[in-house]
Amino acid sequence: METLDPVDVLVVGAGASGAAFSWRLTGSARRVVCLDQGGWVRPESIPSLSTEWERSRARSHHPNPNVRRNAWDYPIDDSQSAIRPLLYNAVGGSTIHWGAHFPRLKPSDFAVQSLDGVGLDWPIRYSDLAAYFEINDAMMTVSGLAGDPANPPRGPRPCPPLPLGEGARRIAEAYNRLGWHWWPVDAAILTEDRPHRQACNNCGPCDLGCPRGARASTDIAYWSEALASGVELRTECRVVRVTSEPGRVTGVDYLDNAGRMFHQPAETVVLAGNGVGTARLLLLSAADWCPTGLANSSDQVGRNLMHHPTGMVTGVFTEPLEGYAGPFAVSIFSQEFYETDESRGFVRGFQAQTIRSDGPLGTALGGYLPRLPWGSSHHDNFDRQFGHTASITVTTEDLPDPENRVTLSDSLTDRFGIPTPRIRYQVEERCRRTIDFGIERNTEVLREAGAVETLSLPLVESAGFHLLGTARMGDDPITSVVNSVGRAHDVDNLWIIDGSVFVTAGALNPTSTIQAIALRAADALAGQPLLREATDV
Amino acid sequence: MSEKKLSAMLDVLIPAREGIPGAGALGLALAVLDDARATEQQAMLDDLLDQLPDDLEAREPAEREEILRRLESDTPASFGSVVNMAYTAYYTDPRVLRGISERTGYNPGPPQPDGYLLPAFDPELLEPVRNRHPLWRRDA
Repeated sequence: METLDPVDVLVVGAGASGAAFSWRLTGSARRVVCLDQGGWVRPESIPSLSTEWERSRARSHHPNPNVRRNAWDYPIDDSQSAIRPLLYNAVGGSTIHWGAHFPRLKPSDFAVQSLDGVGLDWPIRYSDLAAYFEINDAMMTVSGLAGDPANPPRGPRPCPPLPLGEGARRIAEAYNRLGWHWWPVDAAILTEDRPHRQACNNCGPCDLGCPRGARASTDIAYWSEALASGVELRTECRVVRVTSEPGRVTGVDYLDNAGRMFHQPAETVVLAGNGVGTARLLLLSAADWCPTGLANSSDQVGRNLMHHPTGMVTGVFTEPLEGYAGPFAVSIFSQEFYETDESRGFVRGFQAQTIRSDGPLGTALGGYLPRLPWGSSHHDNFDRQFGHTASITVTTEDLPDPENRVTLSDSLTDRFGIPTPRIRYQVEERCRRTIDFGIERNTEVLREAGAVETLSLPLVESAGFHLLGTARMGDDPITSVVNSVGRAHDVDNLWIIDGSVFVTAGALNPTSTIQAIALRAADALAGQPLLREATDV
Repeated sequence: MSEKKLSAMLDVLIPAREGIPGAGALGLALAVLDDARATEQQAMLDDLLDQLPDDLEAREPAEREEILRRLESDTPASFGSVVNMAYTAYYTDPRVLRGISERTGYNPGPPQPDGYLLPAFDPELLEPVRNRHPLWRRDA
């Protein structure tokens, strides 16, 4: 094993959080190196440029690494998980293959114990992140519209909202007739040209990548500036352990693509994987002085895994909606039922996100809907659904459960022989009740919008996009892994800045909040004063 | 034999429709076999085909469908995988996509670089929502 020259800050992971963190740290005159187990995704390799795009989505570019099985991936034992974990390994991480829906956690999401008597409160509040949300929105060039009454005030959006399309327009009008909230989403998708990036042309499959650079991913939104400012990014480098001595980390050991092992000494190590990858690495880094895993004296590493259990209702319309046109995951959302109303029989709530429809193969295979039946009724069903549907999610809030956890597999390894993560995860009864309630409400609005038929899915199995909570933040080292800025309680020079640090999950997409936390952590590590809103909300 | 039997099976899974032959008659058995090899499902596919009668193609349409319904009931996971492979081959075939385009106006080419033109967002739609009181709760 070759030992390399020491660096000041070593970041593990070049995805949503690692990119934002590295960029933010560039003014601190430190030598910053980032390692990622994936490489750069070339724009010309993006499948939406090919007629084979739907086959790629079902195979080589599937969001599940167990299906995709790229060289940059590691398998995950999800045989005991009700929800399949979905992630991408590359520079840009899972922002390479995301829908770019960009809501923020809301003030109540940080205080669920105080407000609703469930879960735990965070050690930070919305106001601690508000300024970082704005910085991040500018970097990710968010489109949308300020003034949403369901959220705290925010600055003008960098770009105007995305077009609704016929399906979302009908649903918006239905919300208006019902008197329910809706708003055009914040999306990390350009609706106007920017230098080196073109505005969205509504091609549809954002999840395959965006050759126009309209849909932001951190390889284009953050890394170009971070690299120009002096951060070093090494690709196809798989970290196998964080090295340590009692009370401090000393660096990492990593394998390059040829299987050569290196030791990279570092003054500070920053983990920026995700709720599965970071937990895996902490558990792999067990040593004599920390036999159950690094930073794990609380026994909370790997525990409290949270997704966003999601139901789905799809409306079938008589008229063609051309739902395959437009960014598939983003147009409008409703937070009418987001905040707690105990008369519903449960606390917390759900977000309803309107989803456009699919291409021919996606329509046939299903996913958000059951697969189309085969046989003599197949074509009639295809004609009825293709281009004639719009869907609305019921995105619910997971709360921490120590038995929902990531451990290391004792039988499955990656291509280098390193144990892979094993996930055990069950959906909480409260979430199922929320989904049942949400399916009724979404069915109501789709009927109001003119759907002649509605189909519901009480749990979308392939919806494990959000991997949260496995190294949570808190003030108490007995019950949490890191403090309120991401520094490990057990190890002063180890930081965790990804979705692992979430205390509760909210009921909405987490990337905007993950990145705001990462930006704030960078300021804390650099010794900068933390930005804060003038008044608490 | 396996290709012929698979072809007969594909014609039952995705039958002919106006202007387009069934998935078997389109010659998609080879594509499904290739897919099964690439995804390490060939043994599963062979096992499934072994359970079908050699003269499947010669049976009456209703009987063919009934045979496959029984097979699906006995081996749902394997059968489902074959259905997925059949749909993948069929709905990525240029002849099928052209047919969909002729019926619906769908662009059978790649999503990029053409994309789609959609009307810009109309802010007037939001008037009823703008006038609502704040819906979000404070954190304390």
